[in-house]
Amino acid sequence: MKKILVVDDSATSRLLFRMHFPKEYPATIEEANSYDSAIARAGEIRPDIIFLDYNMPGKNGIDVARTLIGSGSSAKFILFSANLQQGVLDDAQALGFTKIIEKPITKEKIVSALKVITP
Amino acid sequence: MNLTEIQHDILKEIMNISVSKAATQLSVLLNDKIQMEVPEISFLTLSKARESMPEDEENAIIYQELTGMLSGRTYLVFQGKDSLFLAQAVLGDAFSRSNDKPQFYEHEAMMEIGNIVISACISTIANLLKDRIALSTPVYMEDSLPRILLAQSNDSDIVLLIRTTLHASRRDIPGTLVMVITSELAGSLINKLPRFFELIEKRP
Amino acid sequence: MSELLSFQQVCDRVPMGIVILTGEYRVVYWNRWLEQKTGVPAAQATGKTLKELYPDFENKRFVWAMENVLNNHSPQVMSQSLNHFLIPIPINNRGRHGLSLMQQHVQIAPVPVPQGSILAMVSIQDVTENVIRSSAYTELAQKLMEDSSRDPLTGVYNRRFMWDWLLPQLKLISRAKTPLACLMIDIDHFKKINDQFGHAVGDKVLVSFVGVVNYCLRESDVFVRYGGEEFAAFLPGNDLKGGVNAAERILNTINTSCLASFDAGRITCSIGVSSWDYNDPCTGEDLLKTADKHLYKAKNNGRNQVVPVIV
Repeated sequence: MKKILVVDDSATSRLLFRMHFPKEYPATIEEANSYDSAIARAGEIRPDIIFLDYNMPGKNGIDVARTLIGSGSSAKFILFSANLQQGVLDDAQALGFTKIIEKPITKEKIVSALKVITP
Repeated sequence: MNLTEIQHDILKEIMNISVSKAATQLSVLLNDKIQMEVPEISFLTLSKARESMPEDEENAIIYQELTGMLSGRTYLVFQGKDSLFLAQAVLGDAFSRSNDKPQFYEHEAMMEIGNIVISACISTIANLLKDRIALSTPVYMEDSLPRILLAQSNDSDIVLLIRTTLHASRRDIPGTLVMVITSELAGSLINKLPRFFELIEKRP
Repeated sequence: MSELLSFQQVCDRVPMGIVILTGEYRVVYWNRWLEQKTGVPAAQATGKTLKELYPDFENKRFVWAMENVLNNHSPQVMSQSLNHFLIPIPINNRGRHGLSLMQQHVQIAPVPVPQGSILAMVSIQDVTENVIRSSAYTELAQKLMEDSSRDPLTGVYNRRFMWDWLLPQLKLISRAKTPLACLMIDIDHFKKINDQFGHAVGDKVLVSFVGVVNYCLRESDVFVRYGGEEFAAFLPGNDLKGGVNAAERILNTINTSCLASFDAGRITCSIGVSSWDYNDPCTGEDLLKTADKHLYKAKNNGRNQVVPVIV
């Protein structure tokens, strides 16, 4: 059973993630809607996989990963973004993100990301 | 016209994706890292929308007509001064002058920037809602937006305001995308929002 | 009549390039203008991609624009300012502007065809001349703006220059015993225009006002923005009568000109005239003071007039 944390300021986007998450994949899904709540939830549940939205008010998804990695998290990070600029990709790659998914979220995209983590 | 919290949230996420795609395109063109804030959206009657805007501000406006799922008009609006910075960011330092009004090359550049942002936004909205929206060729003008809305629209029309700020490496440029549609079409847009949750794999 | 015209007849006569591309970016039509400008005959272009025709053709922006046209039916503009050109066409008359390729304004429009597919019509306008002209204007404008003796908005001399010029000029004419007329010119109700239409419109009025007055003056006259909507003009060699005549000419021309977006006659001005005469010399300050006194008299008498009146 994997523990998954999905961080997105949009309730719609979190709902879309749950809807498209493959039922057969053994996992529990927790949510956070901001940088602060993501840091707090990650500390409590110690997730194995964290799906991060890039564009959030205040600090972005890459900031969340940077803080968590700095505090010793061993989670795998996956970035969601409609903004696939080279600068964003470079930042994510430098931090060792497992995969970058272009928004909108679909089932196929989630499955392909999970495959990289558990082939 | 009031939106439920869920409708508002769906619309906001659709606009967030659309605006981000536009930012990506713009960054290719500007060869610069362009970030965009999560947009603020509001759904208002035309008269309310007008009241929320400063009357005599000089705006740089790029305007295109919409047909298809949404018929109406869409305006990309910058403050006069900001538009000059945007154009200069694209055109490079060769064109920076002490004068504070966009001219010559800037008009053309602004029209193309506007065309890119509007096309990227509108096509993403159409794709996410599995429908089609066609656009006319862009028109560039300098005027105050409330004055134009007064001249080109009916009071019963509905306005979707999408406000965001572009962060280029050298400066921040606030911009607003304004879509003016009839009230019937606004209703049908709301009815189509749940389509966003359907599997999004193929274009219409 | 129009049904007798073929598409090709029309397209081969328009003074711009027209190329129609398929969804696979292959040329299906290449008009005569393009044949003439590029030297590539239509028969050779047809069926090829732009990349095949021009091996260096690598244009991300064009690809994105084409995708938008083909997938979203959204017309696209590729401006000269941001893209310079689409198809490399060398130009012969290399001037000092340093351009070696034709500058192009490009539009791409979707053209639906009966089988449900879509073609892209790319129209190419030659804007090289405009680019050369614009850059010349920009250069000239920049020079004027950078000049510290000029007003940055209108490009005419500023007050600082006026004093630097006036004092030596008075010395010069007292030796040469020639007269000098001084005009103080003020745009009527300018504050109202600013309040009612905004500063942007006000600025446009100032700029076009200066253009008209400059047109009425001679090369040797000195035209100064004195402050706000008030201007001073110095006409060497003119006595009071000559100055009043010139002032009336300016007043009438302003009355019959469209300034900014206003109809002719909507913007008027008042003018006070004074003169320096070697029989009755005065200081520069007094010269201006007299003109100013006459200007206020013109304002008080109902504006849109010249004081003094000389019969």
